Amino acid sequence: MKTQRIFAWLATVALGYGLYLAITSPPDAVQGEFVRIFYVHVSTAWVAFAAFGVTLTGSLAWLALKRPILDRTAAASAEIGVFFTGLAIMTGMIWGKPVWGTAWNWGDARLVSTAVMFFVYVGYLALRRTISDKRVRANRSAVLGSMAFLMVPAVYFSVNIWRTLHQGPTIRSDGASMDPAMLAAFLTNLAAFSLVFVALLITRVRLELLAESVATDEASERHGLATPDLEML
Amino acid sequence: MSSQVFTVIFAYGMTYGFVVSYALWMRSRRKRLEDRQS
Repeated sequence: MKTQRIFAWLATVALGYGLYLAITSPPDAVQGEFVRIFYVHVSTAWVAFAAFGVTLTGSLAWLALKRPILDRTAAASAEIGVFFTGLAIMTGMIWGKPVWGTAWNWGDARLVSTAVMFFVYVGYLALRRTISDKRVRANRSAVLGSMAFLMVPAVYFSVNIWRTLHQGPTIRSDGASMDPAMLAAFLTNLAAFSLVFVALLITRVRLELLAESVATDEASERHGLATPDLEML
Repeated sequence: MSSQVFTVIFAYGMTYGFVVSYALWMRSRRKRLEDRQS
């Protein structure tokens, strides 16, 4: 609980500072004030990628070690990843409407691949709900959780492979072509959202473990009550 | 200019609002589970 609270507080402070830098950074020469949306848009997309990376690690680790906590971590991270992918899509649409003139373009590689990634991981979460046996559920979802990660490089490199509407990577190997104040706001928000991810992940995993513990307690209580009834028969 | 500012406020409000709501949902679910456990 203490670790959870520390991360929650760190995330809150970092988000506040990130917001302050986003407000005080200069407007863009071309995009104007809309550039500020980019600080949250890229950060939410980054958290989604990181979350799906944790799902991949947890899935592979489950297949190798068969420890329940690894499967629960993979599932919790996938849920958070789906949540942040949704936020990245929505903030991108809010930004795209005034800057590109359209909120969505079916011909854009980044937009469509991100939507596909979103639904692949929604499928992962749906699969988990269809199987009641914990071990079978963990095995099957670990296979899907590992394969689904192929979508992350597909989304990330889509802007390099297909030259469509979405611009290329923000940070490139030849350095970022950004004003230092904008770069500070961008990196601070990236760090702040990473802390938010860690805080949410710890909370979500603990919640899942608590839910399982309660379900087990209630099942054993029902079993305890059922036994005298059977004896009476 | 003002429409740009309102769009930015909406984007930030939506993002922060959803994150806080998600965290609060986890908190309320934990409390419900703890009540059921006790």
